[in-house]
Amino acid sequence: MERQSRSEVVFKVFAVGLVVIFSLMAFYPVFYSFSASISGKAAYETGQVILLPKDVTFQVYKLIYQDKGLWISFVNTLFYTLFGTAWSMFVSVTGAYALSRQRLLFRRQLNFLVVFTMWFSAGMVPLYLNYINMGVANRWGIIVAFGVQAFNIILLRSFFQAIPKEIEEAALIDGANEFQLLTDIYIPMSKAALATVTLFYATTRWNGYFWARILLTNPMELPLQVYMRILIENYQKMFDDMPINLPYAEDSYIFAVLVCSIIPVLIIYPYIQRHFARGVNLGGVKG
Amino acid sequence: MPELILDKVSKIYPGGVQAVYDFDIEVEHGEFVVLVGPSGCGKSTVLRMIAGLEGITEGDMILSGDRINDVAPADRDISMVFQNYALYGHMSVYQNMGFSQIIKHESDDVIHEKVMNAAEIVELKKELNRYPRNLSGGQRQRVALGRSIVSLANVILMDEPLSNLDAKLRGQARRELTKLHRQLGNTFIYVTHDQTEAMTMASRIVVMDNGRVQQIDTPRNVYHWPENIFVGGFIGTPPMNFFSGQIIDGRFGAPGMDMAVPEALLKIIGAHADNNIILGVRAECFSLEPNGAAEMLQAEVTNNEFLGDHSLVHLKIGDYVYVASLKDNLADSVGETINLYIDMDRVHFFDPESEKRIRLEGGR
Repeated sequence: MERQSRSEVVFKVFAVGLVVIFSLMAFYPVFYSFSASISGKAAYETGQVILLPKDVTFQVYKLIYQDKGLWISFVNTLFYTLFGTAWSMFVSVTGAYALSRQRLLFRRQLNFLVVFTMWFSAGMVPLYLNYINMGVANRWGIIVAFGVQAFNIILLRSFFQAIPKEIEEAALIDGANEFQLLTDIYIPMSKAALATVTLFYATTRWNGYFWARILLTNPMELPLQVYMRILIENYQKMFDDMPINLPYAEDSYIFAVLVCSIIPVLIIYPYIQRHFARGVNLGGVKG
Repeated sequence: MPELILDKVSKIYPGGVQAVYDFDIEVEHGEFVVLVGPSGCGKSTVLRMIAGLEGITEGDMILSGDRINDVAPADRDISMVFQNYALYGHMSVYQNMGFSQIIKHESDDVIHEKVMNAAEIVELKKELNRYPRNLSGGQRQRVALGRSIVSLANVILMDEPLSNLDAKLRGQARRELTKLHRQLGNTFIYVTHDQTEAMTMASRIVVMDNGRVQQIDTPRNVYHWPENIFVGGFIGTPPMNFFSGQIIDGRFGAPGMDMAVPEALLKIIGAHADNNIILGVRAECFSLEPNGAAEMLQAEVTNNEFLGDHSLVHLKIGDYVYVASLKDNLADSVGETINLYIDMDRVHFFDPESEKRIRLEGGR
């Protein structure tokens, strides 16, 4: 192994220490939620649950299992994530590809317009009015209206531009048309960037709360995050009609909902986190 | 009928920079034409115009009898090998070579046959399932060649395909390319800045400078009968030596030189005789013994590069240093003044104004 200087060792210890602290800070609430959701009422309400669960009971999960609204919103979120991401990717990839072409008419101006949306955005009220007027306050509207983020387009555009021109020229001579250039050359050669951007969109869609909350009025269309928020606002009322001597605390219900909402992410994340890391480095591609 | 005709082809880029001026050439089927010149001379632009990757500002381009000025690259009967090979990194060697056919939706059998045939020629049969990133530079270059072969284009364009290879591999690749050209019988148009590649492979060389054609001829003629000072200086290692002087009473005089000019040459020079004139002498026209129409002169040896069978001897004549290629090793004579001879039958005179070689009307 290479010999390291003293300052390098100090730096490493410092860096690792920092990562550990931040990791714990991120991990603790997750684990606490889980512990609290399966702890007994007495243990929780007397403040005995600090890290590990006490008087374990899974009763509250049974309750969740029976909550139809939660499942509907869960499916809704899956729907928004799946179709929303697909739509966003379609628009972003085709848009970024077009913007990466030297011969695109008004290329500079169009690029400027895209970037402009990163710097300035209209206020909430005009945006709201705009969305309402466009009639996007429904299931498909949410998917279409929140199609793209300028940053992701720029990211993809830069990546496309970094692919050597000769590759494209070789493909042109081989007989590829513009569409084949995109599907057979640019997309497969940009897998890393595409994975990253897909991930960005998917997480945004999965966590999408604000506009869904404001725009969607039909309870059958609410995504999970909004449904959970409504639950948290109203759960006290729900328990008013229930027997008093439940084995779990009322708060446990909320914690259990939280846990349910992060489980899918926890399952998928390990498989895709390397793309996330790579995505951070993508910023290094000339912009 | 020539396979490819470029008739007064010019290229002016948006912004007004002119890269190519009135490029004229007729290429017969099966020729190996090498465009050579210093970087920025426009040779790659010409190639890219033939490929259809650059538009043509003026002039006509005719391939197999059809004007192709506005024909898309894919619809021209050409293929191209790029300097950095431009392989598709996400495809295997097989897919890289077959891409042009896959795009055309050829049947799998046809693709297989063509790719296997090409792989046989470029000796890549064992590497077909590998990816470009796992190949050596030489192998990548052969994949690029294989891709051209698969497309069965009549004209194969190459843009400095050997410049990413190391010196040893380059020599081998040159021989392989020459062999391949003989084997395929296609027309090759090849761009390089390396005159060794041009001299060893070409059936005809196009020397370019500043966007203009300087000379189009066989390697032999380009070497022995350079059209102008640029060609003489660019082709040949070491380059041609140039002496600036005058011809007075049938003798060429320059600082440190005074030599009789043969009758035949004087006749060619004719009217130029009274003016300033430039004498061009190839390095091998010097010798220590008189032979041919030999004229003696004295020179100081300033350096000696021993290369085995010959030496490059740096000679100070007048105020300038020239290079002679001599059989003898003069390492021990550095610093001394020696007598040497120039074979005046093999020298050329150039006009200092136009920089063109002085020749008889219609003569060589």
